[in-house]
Amino acid sequence: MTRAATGYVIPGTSWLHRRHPLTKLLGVLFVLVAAFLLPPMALVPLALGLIAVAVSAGLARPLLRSLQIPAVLIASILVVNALFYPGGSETLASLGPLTVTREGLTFGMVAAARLLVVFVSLMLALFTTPADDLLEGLVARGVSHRIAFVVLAAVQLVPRMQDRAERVRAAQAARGLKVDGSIGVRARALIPLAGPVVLSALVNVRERTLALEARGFGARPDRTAYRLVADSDLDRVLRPLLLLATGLVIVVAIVGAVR
Amino acid sequence: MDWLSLCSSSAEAGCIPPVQAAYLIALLLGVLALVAVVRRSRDFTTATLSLMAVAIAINITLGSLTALLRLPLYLDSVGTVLVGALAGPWAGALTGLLSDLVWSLLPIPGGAGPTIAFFAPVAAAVGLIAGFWASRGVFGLRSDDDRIGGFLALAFGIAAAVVALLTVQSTVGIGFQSDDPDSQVRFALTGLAIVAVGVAVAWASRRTVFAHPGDDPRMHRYLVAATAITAGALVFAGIRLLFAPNGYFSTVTGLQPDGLRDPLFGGANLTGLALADPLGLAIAGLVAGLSAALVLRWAGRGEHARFFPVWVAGATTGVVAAVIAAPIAAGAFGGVTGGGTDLLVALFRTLGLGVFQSVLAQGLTSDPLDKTISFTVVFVILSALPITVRTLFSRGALTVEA
Repeated sequence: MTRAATGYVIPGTSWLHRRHPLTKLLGVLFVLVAAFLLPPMALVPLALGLIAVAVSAGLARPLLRSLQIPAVLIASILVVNALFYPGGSETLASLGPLTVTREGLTFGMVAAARLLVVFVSLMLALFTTPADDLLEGLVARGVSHRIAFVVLAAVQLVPRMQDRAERVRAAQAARGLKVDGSIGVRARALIPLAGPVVLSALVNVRERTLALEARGFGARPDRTAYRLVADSDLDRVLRPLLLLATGLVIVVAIVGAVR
Repeated sequence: MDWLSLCSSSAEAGCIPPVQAAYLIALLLGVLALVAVVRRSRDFTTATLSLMAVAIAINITLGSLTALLRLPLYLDSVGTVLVGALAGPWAGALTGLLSDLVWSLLPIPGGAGPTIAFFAPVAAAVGLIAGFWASRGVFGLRSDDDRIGGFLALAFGIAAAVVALLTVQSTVGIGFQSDDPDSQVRFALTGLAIVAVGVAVAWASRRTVFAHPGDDPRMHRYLVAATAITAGALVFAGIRLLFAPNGYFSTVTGLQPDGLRDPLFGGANLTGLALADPLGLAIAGLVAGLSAALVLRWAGRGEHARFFPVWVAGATTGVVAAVIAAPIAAGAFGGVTGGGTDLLVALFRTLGLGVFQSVLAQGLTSDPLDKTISFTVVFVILSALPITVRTLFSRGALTVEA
């Protein structure tokens, strides 16, 4: 399995690993709703809570390393807003034509913090939940197995398409196509490389369809699961609590907005 | 119901802050779209479902490529448009939704955590519109079809609206101050008037100039001319996006903001490719004119003018996508999404536009071009696919030339 197929999963047995995938999904939903709907001060307890979860599950180190993924995004949100926020009047610093305004910096920091909090909660869920478990958990809850198939097949197809692209590249190079060199050469090679990859993937849809149908994918009767995902008593209590908290946040946000 | 109004920047209490309202509306729309699409998904065939998986993989692969090169385009809707064309609007919408949700879960450039998931409603809309256009037959139209007149009239109306917009902007100006309700009303009225001009021109031309049947030689001449003009405009827009003084290449300095060597293009400094203005404008115009002339000859032969309806469909899809994406990008990210389009947003900001306006301006620049390219790629893929594969899907027959 290549890295893209397994996602970010870090094997382990911490309390977070043992939670039901659906519980973690509801947790992420709660953080998302709270981070974006509540006033910016609510981000502080959210962030502290997430740090506590990460440390207690022993995931602090991989979480820190994963922060490089949104680094560019966070940096550009901060820089662009600090420098170009419209209507910013209070100047903090200026360098030539560029001025940092207090309003811009505040707006940028709040936007970046919201994003960071949601990102961290999502990463914690992804670190501890294999994609198969998540989908199996969802299918057991009545989500269509057809949708689950599409998602899982797509996730597995991305690295396979990269493999296929490499094979097509080798085959075309063996037939005399120039694939390395300046930007111009590489741009010219794009069509003979991308064409066979895309077309063969689409032609394979027919084989895949026939194989699925032959194995009863479209059959109507209920099916039984091969993988069973553990669902503890704690999960059964946590899920309604998280749902309730999410609903409460939405109500508070609406009431607060109306004032 | 006094409180049910958006705050202007001066008033704080007794009204709803616009940003909070935007989040709530986005959340509601996202949930509604998901429910509608999932309900429809029960009717999808196995073939449609396995096509959707491949389409999502294509979306992510192409999208991450442009994210890696930091191009001011997206190209992440080729698969969505393909599914919309072959399996109908609802399948296209689901493909768009799932693409963005799955992409945000993969450690691949452009995903970057939850960013792209916010734009899932946009991708769903693209799938819906692609399905709509496919059901109008854009991917299977012959150049002597009677419906060609409708596409010509539509394009003529859009051109008239653009001319009206540019005229208004260069004469009275489009005043929009976020703290002045009067200017907002004026802005909305101007927008409606411009749309009305476009609709009137389209309707009138459909009744008069373009009222003839498709096999009329005049219609074929119009179609070929329209194809050439559109191709010239597309080439011009593409060149300006890449080579303008503040375009794509002006940002490829070979250095990252922190002074380190940029791995993009092996750290080469390509700012020399950003041509200074009178010269750059002249070169872009010249190349665009030349390509229009070449396309004029090429489209005159055989069935090549069939590309024109595809381009009209792509451009209109792009406009809708830009309008939906702008409030999301402005509300959730302050207009900065970490992609190559950020430089355009920053450029419009320096021109004095607000957060929302600069995001909308960026979308209206990138999206129509991006979706036109995507529709063209899909059209080429469809004509290269064997008919036995295309007709596996419910709408596949529509892509076969009738």
